[in-house]
Amino acid sequence: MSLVLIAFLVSIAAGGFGALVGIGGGLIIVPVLTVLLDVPIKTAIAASLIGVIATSMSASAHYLDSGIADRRLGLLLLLATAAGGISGGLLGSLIDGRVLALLFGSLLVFVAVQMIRQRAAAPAPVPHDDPEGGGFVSSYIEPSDGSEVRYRARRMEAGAVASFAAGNVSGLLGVGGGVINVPTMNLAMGVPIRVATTTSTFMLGPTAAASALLYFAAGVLDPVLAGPVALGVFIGARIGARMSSRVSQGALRIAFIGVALVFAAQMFYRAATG
Amino acid sequence: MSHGPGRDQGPTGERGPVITATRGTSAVLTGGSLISAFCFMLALALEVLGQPATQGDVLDVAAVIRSLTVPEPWGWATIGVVVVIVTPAVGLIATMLEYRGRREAWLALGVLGILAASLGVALLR
Repeated sequence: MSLVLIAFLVSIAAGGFGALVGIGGGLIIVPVLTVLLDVPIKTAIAASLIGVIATSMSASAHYLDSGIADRRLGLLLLLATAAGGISGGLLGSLIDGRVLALLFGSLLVFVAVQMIRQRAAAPAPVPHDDPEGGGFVSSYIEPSDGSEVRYRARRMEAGAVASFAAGNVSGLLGVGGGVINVPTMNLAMGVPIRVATTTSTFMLGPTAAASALLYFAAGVLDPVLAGPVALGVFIGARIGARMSSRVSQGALRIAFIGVALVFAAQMFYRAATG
Repeated sequence: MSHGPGRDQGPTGERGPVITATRGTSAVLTGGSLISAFCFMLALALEVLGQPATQGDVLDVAAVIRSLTVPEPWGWATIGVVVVIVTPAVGLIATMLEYRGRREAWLALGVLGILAASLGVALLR
């Protein structure tokens, strides 16, 4: 079986697992390609970015139509994430692969620790008429009960700084950046979690496109690998999203933590030995 | 239930003018998804059928067209990748047209400017 076909099948599994756990496929696909299939890490990151854009494009169309994604907030923060995507992409195409492996391993440990520490209770919603909030008021229709939910997106400066960091991480390591964007919008900016996740998904496409252009021009993006990876992650994410309500989230999180730590160890090993 | 971008409100909480049937951005994103998926599926099928996995310079347009007409996996995968990278920018242009005269249009223009800067950096390196 050819490497491309194996990458396609593995990407379906990675995309599905990512969707089930609630993270992007990139966090899984980069170590899978690098560790299991021996693909150079920069080529794996570039392929993952194409998968990130494809998944974002498909999901965003629905989120924009339904009015759940906050387009104004997304565009505002995109100014920062896209700029971060350029600097991350530039840095990623310049620095040594072993440093990237070290950074990716660290990111996996960070996400695993975040999952272990994740609080069960959702954060208290911020009242939309908070006089000290600043920012702007928006609303969406909650699909589960049809009610209108109003909220105030606040602390734009903090959001912009975090978004720039998210763009850097996305461009540097080929992941979506939602791991930073979603908690920032939800916890720091007071945006409901449903709006935060959908708006983050909307932002991922242009952010990853800014980075992917740099990998593309640098010649590290292999279309023959990136295409099946993007297709696989996309198909897997669809399957995972459909299955998510039928699978125990607790067990999945534990599985993800185990897998992430194993991959992190492999990445650290690669960083140490080349 | 579809509410679209008409739900946006101003800094003081006032509701902006309701815009209906502004589906240009999502149509662009859906179209880009379908076209790129078609290209990737064709490339994968050609790969499985054993077509030669030749590689070339992705910036060499003549080589890409040659590979498309053979047809080879590389050419079709390259076109798919280009569609994926370009679609978000086209989506931003659609947003500018949908929101003409509103703040979102200027924000979309700003993001497009950053993507153009990325393209400039990519070509200059």
